Amino acid sequence: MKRATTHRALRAGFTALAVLPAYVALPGFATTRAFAQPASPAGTTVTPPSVITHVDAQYPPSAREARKHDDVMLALTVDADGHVSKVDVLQSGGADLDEAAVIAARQWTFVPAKKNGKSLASRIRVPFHFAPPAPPPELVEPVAKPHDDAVLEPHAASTESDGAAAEKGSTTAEVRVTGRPNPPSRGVSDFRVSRPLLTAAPHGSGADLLATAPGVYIAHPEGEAIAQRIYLRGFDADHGQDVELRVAGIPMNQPSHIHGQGYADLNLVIPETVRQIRVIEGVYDPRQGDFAVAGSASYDLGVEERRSRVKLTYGSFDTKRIVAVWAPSDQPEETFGAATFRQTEGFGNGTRGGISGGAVGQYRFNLPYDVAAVLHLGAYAARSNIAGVVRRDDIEAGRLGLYDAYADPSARAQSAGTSRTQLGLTLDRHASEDGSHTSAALWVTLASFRSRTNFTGFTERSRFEPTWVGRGDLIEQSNDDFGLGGSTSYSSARFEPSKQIRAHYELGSEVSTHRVRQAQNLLQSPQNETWDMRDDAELKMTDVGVFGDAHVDISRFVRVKAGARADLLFFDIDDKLGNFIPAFQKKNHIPGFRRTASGIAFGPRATVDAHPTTWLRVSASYGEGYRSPQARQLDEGEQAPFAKVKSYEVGVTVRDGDALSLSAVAYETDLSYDLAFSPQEGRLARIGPTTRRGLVGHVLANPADWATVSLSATYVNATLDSPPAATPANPSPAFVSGQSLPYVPPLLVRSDVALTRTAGRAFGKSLNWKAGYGTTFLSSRPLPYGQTSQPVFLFDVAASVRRDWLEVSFDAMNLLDSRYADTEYAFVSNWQSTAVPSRIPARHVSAGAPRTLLASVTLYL
Amino acid sequence: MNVSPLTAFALLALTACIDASQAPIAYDAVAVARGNGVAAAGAWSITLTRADVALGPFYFCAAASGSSTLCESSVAEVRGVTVVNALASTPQFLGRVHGFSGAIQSVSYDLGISWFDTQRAATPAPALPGGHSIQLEGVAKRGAVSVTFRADIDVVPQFQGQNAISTAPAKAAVQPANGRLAIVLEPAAWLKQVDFDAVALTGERDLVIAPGSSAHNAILVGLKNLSPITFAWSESQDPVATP
Repeated sequence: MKRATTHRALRAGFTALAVLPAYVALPGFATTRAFAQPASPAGTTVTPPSVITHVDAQYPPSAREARKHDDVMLALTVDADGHVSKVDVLQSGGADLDEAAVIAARQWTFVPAKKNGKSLASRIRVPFHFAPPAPPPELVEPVAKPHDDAVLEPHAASTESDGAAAEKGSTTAEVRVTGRPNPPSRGVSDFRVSRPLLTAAPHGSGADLLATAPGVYIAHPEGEAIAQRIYLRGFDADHGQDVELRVAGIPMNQPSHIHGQGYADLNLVIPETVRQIRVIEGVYDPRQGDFAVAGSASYDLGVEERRSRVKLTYGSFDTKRIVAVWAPSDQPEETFGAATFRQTEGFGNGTRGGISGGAVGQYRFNLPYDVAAVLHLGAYAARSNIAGVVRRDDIEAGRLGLYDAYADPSARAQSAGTSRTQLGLTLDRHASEDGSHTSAALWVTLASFRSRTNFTGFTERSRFEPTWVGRGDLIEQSNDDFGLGGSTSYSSARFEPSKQIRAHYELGSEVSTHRVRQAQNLLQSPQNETWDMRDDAELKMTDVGVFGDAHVDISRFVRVKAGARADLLFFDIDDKLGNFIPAFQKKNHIPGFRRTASGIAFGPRATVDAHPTTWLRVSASYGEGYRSPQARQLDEGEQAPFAKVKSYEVGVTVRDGDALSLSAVAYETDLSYDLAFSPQEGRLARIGPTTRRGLVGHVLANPADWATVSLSATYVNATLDSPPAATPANPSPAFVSGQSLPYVPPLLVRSDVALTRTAGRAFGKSLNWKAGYGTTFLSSRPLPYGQTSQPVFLFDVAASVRRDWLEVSFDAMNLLDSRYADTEYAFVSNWQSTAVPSRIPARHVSAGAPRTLLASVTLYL
Repeated sequence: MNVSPLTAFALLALTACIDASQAPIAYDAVAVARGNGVAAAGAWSITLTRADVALGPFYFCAAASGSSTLCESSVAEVRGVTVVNALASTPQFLGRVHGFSGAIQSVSYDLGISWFDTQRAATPAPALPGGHSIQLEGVAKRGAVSVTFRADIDVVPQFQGQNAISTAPAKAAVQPANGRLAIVLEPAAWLKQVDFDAVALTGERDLVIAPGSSAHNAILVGLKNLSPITFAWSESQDPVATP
């Protein structure tokens, strides 16, 4: 119906535009989106009604002359059959608008409210917004099915009298309906990837879901217990250094992590519980904080289908997975529990085996004073072997296969173990009387990390005993992080400083503190004897951020969103190996270097949106963001040298309702200093300032009710502007000025197609069929020393059929069995594969997984 | 001309991949003998009748110091070990140089005996003449006095993970057009520091120079300091003799 409305508007122009902040996209989603709540004082549960069909209000002709532009708030009484039996006007927009709203609302139908599973009448509030018909029409936020729309978010009656009424068996329960918080778009590159696309192609992990966003590629070069590697719009974000990642609002990036700045392990995410991912490519939202350099991604967790289920999977490489999801029907989507265990031998010659498990649970409940709360608990642990890298010349010479690992004990000792536990509480209060919004959040995280990796074979020399050499470059890294943080924000009601201008603002703060213990050593396998110590430090870091944001409609066609953010970062570093005494130097002090540093990062962000017609949106954005420095690199009293990023973009979106959306973006990103992987240290090293200029094209289409298609192409010219000069310690730097940024694919093309049909019957029940696929194309990636990697094309397919409580599904990843390098490097190594070692930087590959077939059975309870 | 968006993307991507920096190149390395096996050392005239020299591996570095501890990454290398006749009048093929274009300032290398990171002791390459880096034979004459000599020279790395010649100058700006690296050696000159006067005083006329002897050490001084191997890059594509 929504689609039909939009088409009508496109053809003939609007006679009215009723933009519902609480707009339900499709009837089919309405039921699953309902947020039920409320427990009465006696503990009984009332499920609010959810919309099945809605009808837009027609803008009354009588209001045209005055060009009225107003809101109407209605209270609807929904009877036990789901029909609107009574309508009261709570907030009038004038008689004509009130009448139009009432006429429309009376045509709405609902799944009735339920108390303990029994239907009952209820009372809800529904806002209508009227804008005068005009070509061009009123500015609206672009919608991206399904979650870009605000959705009906019923809150339970929270007063005692309401609860008492329910308890007493009253036939009418007061249920208030408000819009679910849905941050406004910050430009054309603000993508919301919804469940149909997230599930179109198979995804092995929560991190892989990100690949559905334009310009994103996810790799797993270091196995299952080390965080994914992310490429986003020309950035090799490694394990998260350039992408701010949040899950259920909790920051995932770990500052100053030993394995890489901003390390963020998304393996905690159970794919079945992801409702939507918001990806902002660029830094245009004042809410984006540390590590939002290439952009940010936020996972919204929820289970839409309110049935519990158990899914059993078995497939290639003796992979076994079980996932259980608990999603009771009388609870909102945000309330669920999920647990998973996974075990695999991994591909190759038995060096990629791993075991992992995790659990995520959320509970949404109401508090007094109309406060809605979500309690989140997540935990994840994994251990896996790592095959490491293989020299390409060894592969080409037949000394080793692509999926093999070196037989040396130092190579076979590679492994990683990690765990993370996080607890979060989010509080939201929407003031229905004026539309303001107050929120607060608190979170605690505890994460451990220990890895043993060897990229270079036998090239390292001990700093403590310089004659110790050739014992294997097995780098052990450990990082224990305790994090505590939270946020508060207030979003004002909309106000009108003048007749043509409407505005509202938001002020917020965000704080976090981390206590980190980290170390890096060299081990000699197989005894894992320590033969060199590289780092041993304790870090205390605190980030205090504040932001302000204003949205101003300066005309009916143009909206400006502008704000700024400032972060104060404080570092206290106890570097136990600082002031190191080389072996040749007489000892005249005790090693150790304790220091503090701090700095303030400030950045404005702004977006100008223009909607000259209903189907066209043009936007321009500018923003400055930052990445915090690695604490151990700071000197005493140093003004923390943030990596500053400046993002520019202009974009255009052409939209035909929900049927088709075409977006094109041209962007530039300037970064004051970049980081690249250093195999000698097994972590990131500075490579100087970089510039990226690129184009993004994105098509999102729903050609039929049963089909969703997404296609994106991202081209980037990423260059290194001023790499570090050669030094005695690094006489042959891998990078030269003006060269293409290593590891970044200039062209990334991604498509996802999801098909869903109900067809046929079996044993009296209809069959629901799903099929989908995802394709990924990576062009040749530049490597250090002027080399390039091979292009990659991947084709993943998923298919399933479901009959009521039983679903059988089949996933095929890399169906064409492409032999590809998940990640490719160029550096010096010595794996003793030749009698005389080479010191020329050579290409090394971490193999991508071959064809992987998985079959699953899901039982819905 | 119609160009589809996909084609345009592909062309742009291709453009982005083209870098002029540090192009990988490979070219020949040859050994060039100088001096015709003859040298003068004070009153002594030295003439070689045999000069078998093991050359390699060579690691070229962009920095002024080619020491393996300071130059972990080479810009060019010759990994093979080749025994050449250092009396030959024509260049002898040593192998291919693999690396990148760009500046070279230094080199570290072995003469057949290496002590790589993973080796417990310095180890001669299998192809070495008699297991030694260098074998020289010849005669030194001072008037009527003649001393024949045979020298077995071992040029051994001092430390594990280092080359025997840990660093030496080798300056070049290597371009893809460079066709040849000439490794120039003058073995007769290495004997200039040998004290043939002292040998003559002993009455010995058939001198055997073995590792550890003072004459052996004098030859090492000549090899490493006084008449070291030099390196020259040229565009020559002339055929070379295979040792």
